[in-house]
Amino acid sequence: MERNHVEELVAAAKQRDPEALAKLCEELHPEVYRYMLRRAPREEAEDLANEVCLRAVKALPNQQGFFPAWLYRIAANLLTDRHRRRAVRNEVLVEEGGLTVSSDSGSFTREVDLRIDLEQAMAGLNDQQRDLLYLRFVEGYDSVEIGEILGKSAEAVWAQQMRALKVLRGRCVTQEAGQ
Amino acid sequence: MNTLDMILDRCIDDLLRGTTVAECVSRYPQYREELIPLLQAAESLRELPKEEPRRDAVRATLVRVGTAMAEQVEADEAPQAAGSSGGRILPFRISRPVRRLVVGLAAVIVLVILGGASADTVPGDLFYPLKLAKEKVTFGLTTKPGHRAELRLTFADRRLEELVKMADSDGEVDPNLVRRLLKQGALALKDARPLPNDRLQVFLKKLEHFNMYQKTVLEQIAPRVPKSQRPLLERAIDMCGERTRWMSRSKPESVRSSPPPSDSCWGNGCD
Repeated sequence: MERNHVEELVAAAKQRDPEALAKLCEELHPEVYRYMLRRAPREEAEDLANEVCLRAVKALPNQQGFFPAWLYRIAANLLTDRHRRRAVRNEVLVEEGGLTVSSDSGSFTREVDLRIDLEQAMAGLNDQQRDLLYLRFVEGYDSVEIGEILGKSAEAVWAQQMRALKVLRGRCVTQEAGQ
Repeated sequence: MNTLDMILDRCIDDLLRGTTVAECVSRYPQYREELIPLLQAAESLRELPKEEPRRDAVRATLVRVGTAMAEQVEADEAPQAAGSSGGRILPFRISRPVRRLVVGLAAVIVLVILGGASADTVPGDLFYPLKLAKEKVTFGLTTKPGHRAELRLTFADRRLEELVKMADSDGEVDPNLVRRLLKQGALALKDARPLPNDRLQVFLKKLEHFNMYQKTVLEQIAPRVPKSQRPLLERAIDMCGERTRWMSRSKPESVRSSPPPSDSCWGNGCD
């Protein structure tokens, strides 16, 4: 999503323009959903994305700063709340080790070996490294924007990005050697 | 701060705009050895799937948000209404912004319901023409070339989804649907031409990947349809292959200045 476009939508949605609000939700839901999908099965990720959009709309009048960073904070807080509640009930929402590929995500593209290898390699990264790479390569944010989302300086993002790519490269090489 | 971190980040920016690994590395020959493996890993990340939620899930969110907003407005307005209801027919006051909001919300909800009724339809269904009409309206209201080209891809993706559904349920496909699918790809290229070079380059890459994806899906459908329909799908598969090859070789300048290859469906021959 283009930054200016989002800012325009947010400004209009704060004025309770229903079309802007609907458009904003339509555009944000998929991104929040992908964030949740890295932590929960498909159906739960959809519900969580739904809940994040709802919380975001309710809190929108008080929103300040870079909108995606604010939105990701809501998503992270929701996950923390759920995790805490489930921990009490001895349930686990976020799987150890990160990327959860839901069993019903059977799109045709999933069947391409290259992607499966890539996702396996991604599973070797920690949550923050994986989020960083998804934000950079799937959602299209630059380092400064990612810094705002992750609460880091751009320099820290550069360093973490390099470390993540090194790990990824290492795992891809290992996979190739093992074939 | 490590200089290599920063250079790698710049190279990734360039890579995402369509520059090749070799071109990136040629700008920083002193870091060649370190950059190549990292940029190759970065390039592979462009293959990561962009998972989309089900349309029903997005619609459910819209409905929940609409309801929550209406409740919020009602709550905000309640104290005012309670204090100033005398002398009117209605026992409550509706301010102009709220009226606007209610009308707007009603429009959104109608759109959502109509969209809901037609979103999953395929050719032959009662609401399918409504789906196409809605697409025409959306397209007509879109003026920016980049957005128009993106919309074309969205429509092509829907046609592909419909083809899969038809093949799954009826065991055959509608030839007109295959033509519409290919036509949207061709029109996407046409609509993208006015884009600046960097955005056109990115869009071409996207279109190239989309064509590859289309080809894969059509190859999976082909064995499931009657023999009489296979030549049509095989032609479409070839066309996707030709388009993918053409786009992988094309630069923005050449896309703008020269016509696409002999494939008639790049032009207006798909109707």
